[in-house]
Amino acid sequence: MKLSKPLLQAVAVAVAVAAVSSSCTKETVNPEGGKTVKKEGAFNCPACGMG
Amino acid sequence: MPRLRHGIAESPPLMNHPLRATLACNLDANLLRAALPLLEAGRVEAIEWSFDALFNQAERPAWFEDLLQAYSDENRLLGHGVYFSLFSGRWSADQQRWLDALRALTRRFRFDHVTEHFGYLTGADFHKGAPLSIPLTSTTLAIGQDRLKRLQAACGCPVGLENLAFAYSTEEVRRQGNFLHRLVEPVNGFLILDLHNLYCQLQNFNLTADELLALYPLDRVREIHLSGGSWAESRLDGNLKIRRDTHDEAVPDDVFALLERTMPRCPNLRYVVLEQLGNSLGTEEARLNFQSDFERMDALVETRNRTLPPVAVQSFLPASPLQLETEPVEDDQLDRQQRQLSDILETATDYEQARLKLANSELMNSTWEVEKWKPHMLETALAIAQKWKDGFVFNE
Repeated sequence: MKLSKPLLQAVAVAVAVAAVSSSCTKETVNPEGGKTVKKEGAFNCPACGMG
Repeated sequence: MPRLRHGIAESPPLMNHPLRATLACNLDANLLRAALPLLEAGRVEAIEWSFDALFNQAERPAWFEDLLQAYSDENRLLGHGVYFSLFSGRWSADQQRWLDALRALTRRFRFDHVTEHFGYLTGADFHKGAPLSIPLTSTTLAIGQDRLKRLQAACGCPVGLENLAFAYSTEEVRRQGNFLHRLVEPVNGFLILDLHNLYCQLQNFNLTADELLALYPLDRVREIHLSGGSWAESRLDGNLKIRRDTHDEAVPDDVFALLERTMPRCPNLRYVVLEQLGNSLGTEEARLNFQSDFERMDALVETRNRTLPPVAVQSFLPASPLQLETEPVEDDQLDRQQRQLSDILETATDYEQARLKLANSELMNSTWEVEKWKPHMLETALAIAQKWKDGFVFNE
């Protein structure tokens, strides 16, 4: 399906700045090192991949 | 009188209905980065959105709303629920809120259909845990049928259920297709046939594709899912590998082969959907593989479209308005058993401890048929439940 140019541009800009994952991501400190990112209200469809 | 097959009237006129190459498209940076070239090329004929993953978010970005709206305007937006937990023994306030939120969403977007998953969520918290199987009994059938009616009444469009990859026993695998058929019958609903889920069962239970497909009402299949997964080694038997539906790898050749042989057997198929989790699309190589999988799927769909015979269009809507019971169907015993099982799966340190706890639980000598569970599948259930008990978490 063809999408309008302005819509595709808007998606491209959002993806480029990764704005899509900033608003709902809660970061916590992982005691074993590294950064644990807990996505509350995940953006993915985890149930399909919860196998 | 129109002839009925699996309860579907076959009298409507014959029409050509092309299959649509569809993308599971959610608000995820990696996934959208991978999907962008496909969207730009106009290859994505429809999108499937897991709407309830954003129920806790106050606002969706305007550009994402516009993307959903574009597909909604063309009646090419599919809703795929995650958290309704269809078979929880007790009806919860969260489930009612979930339905209310869906009802509100259908005033904003037009879904061509809405689907959910077979099973119940293991987490004590409604929005956590993983979907695992249930006893296939008259009790769970009544609960599932009740929930599907409420789902259909809330969204006002066709509703369907996806087959589950996980099973504890071969008997359960063999019975799932018919049970799904009986579940969707009262709402004249349909099935999502997830071919990677089927592939997991073929591998884990040593069955052939023809054997298993023969047990499904394929004329009820309106949507097919494709995805990848991973292998897990059994600690109980070092030689045994368990196929898991983790959606974090490319689609295996065997699953593409399953798509080729299954499409012609599903006369009411409309959508073929590619799924992959965004956190597995963090590299350019993974994104290119994802695009390649979509193009391969699209090519198979287009080949099928060229030889697609005209079919009687099935609405998959109830023949008449559904009569809902005032009180949702519930079962206290099932609720207690589910809570016990969830607790065991989420807290047991290993298979042996889980087995002992099960032996002392209400599930023993019950319709759960714990005695028939394959040890490596109980071991897998532990791994799944413990992986997802805190929700969607990953390490960077």
